[in-house]
Amino acid sequence: MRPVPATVRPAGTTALACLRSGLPDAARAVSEDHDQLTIELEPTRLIDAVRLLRDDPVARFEMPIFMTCVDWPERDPRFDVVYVLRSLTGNDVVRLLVRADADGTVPTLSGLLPGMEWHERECYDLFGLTFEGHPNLRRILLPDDWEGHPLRRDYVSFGEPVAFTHNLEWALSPQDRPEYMPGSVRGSVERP
Amino acid sequence: MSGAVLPPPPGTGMPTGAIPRQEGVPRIRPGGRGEFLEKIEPSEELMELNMGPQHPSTHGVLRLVLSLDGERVRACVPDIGYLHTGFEKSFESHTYQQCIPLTDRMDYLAPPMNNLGFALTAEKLLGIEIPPRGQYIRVIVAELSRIASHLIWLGTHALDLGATTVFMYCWRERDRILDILEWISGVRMMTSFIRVGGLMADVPAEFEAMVRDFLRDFLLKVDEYEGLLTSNPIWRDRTIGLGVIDAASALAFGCSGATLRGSGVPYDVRRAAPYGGYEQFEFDVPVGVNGDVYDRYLCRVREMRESCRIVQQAIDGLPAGPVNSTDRRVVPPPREEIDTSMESLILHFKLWTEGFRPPPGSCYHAIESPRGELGFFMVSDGGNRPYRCKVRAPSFSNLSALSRMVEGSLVADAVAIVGSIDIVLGDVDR
Repeated sequence: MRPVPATVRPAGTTALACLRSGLPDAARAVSEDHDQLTIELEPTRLIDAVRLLRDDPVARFEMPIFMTCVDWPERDPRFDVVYVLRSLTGNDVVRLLVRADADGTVPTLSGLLPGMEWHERECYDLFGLTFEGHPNLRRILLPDDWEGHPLRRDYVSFGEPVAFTHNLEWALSPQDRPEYMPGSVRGSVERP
Repeated sequence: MSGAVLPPPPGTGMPTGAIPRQEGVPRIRPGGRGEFLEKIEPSEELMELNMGPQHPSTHGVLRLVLSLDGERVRACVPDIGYLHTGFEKSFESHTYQQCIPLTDRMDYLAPPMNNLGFALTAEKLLGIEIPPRGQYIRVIVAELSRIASHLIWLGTHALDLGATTVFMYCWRERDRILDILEWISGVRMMTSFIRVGGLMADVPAEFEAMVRDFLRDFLLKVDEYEGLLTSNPIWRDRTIGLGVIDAASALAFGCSGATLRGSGVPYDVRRAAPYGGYEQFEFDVPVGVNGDVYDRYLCRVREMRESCRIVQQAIDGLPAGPVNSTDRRVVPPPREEIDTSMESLILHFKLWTEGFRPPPGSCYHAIESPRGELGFFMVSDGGNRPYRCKVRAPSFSNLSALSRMVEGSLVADAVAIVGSIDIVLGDVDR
């Protein structure tokens, strides 16, 4: 039976060591989840950190796996922007995290890792994030005239909002609510 | 012809099974197409040509905007999204188990692979593992679907370049794999056979004989395809030296699968980060040298042979026992128990109506699909639906490198290059 390569545990350890020695002020927080490290970075240091991880002769995180976004509408800043890079040399995967506001911008990585270009376009398309310095920030999956960014949690995906007792505030404005519904601002209607 | 080839990563134990070259066969035939290509003079006038969205060689709905200088492609801009279905949005409103049929429809040439990726990621979030028999059956089904997917790729790729016979042969063998899938799951393509927590059901008694019957002569069939193509001078003329991408660029574009291995990088998720029992099987990772259409072809054809090896080992060592996890949070109690225990009945009902709730957290898990690294990034907020589930589709990243490969080639060769990266538009657009 073939020996199985030792995968770094938890994933991301080599990247963290590289960042700690090369850019000690870049990492804002580090958390571990399911044997994977998530390194939260200052948005201003993202480019430097990725360049360091890519060019470091030991770490060599040269392969952009993907980037995406997680929307937490109740939270401020609202978006978690997640980058996953892989190093074949160290057989390691690292997850980087940058937080962004609803209308905030994130620096683009497409200049460093061309594979990120399409992923960032997808993120712009589906979440409405702007990537500063991106060479071609257009919609990629949806038609150019599409309105809104569907993967935001508050996007209404189809049809009209239907009012139930649990979502009245969301579905109907106070002016639209019939007087027998809570929160209505209509005057009481004379019933025949 | 090819760029810098990275040294094999030290210490990872990855093989460097470079494809042996046949002695005495020149890579470019004297007086052939390769020599003719060098003689075309560049001009100033460019023409825009739309290739697709309805073009037979794009294998789906892909539009390529080509800037042509005579017959030569100066720039290529892929336009995708025609098959965008919003699966990632749909995941957020379905319970984990309900998401499985959705994943079938992304990479529709290897649906069990998508099931496997989703199931493994959800199981990682839940912290459960399934019994060995379930793992072995998953490996067999996944590798069979890899062979089926490669057969479609080979058939259509050869058809694009004018070799119609291969297409018929490939369809013939793929049908036998679909027969096996139908026998175990009831469905030929969208099987939803691999579920979170195990399998739809244990395999029927005939399964083993069917798989052995398939394995008995499949390698001979691969010899048959290779006999039609590998040394065929027309095939070699139309594939060697085309669509070259060097290892460093392929890595920078995030390519994976045979598109990356054709350039000489021995990266295979099954080897780099083994999952679901793959560490127990012996197989080689075929690697190309030049990163052209021909090397990607050789890699995939050899991968079919390696998949056969894995299936053979798995069917020989198929253990007895249960196929599903015994974790009652995820897998409902067996039927007999429901007749005698009220709690089991309630649990069964709740599992099928509400589903299960993984603890809050996030994880990324990747598997090696026929096209490369298929990953799922799943975030749970403690509810019964994925809060966010991002699919890292291998075809998406591979396709983004297409412009780099196509620039400078002829229009007719663009067809060969698109075929060689083996995209599935359902996977690209999701």
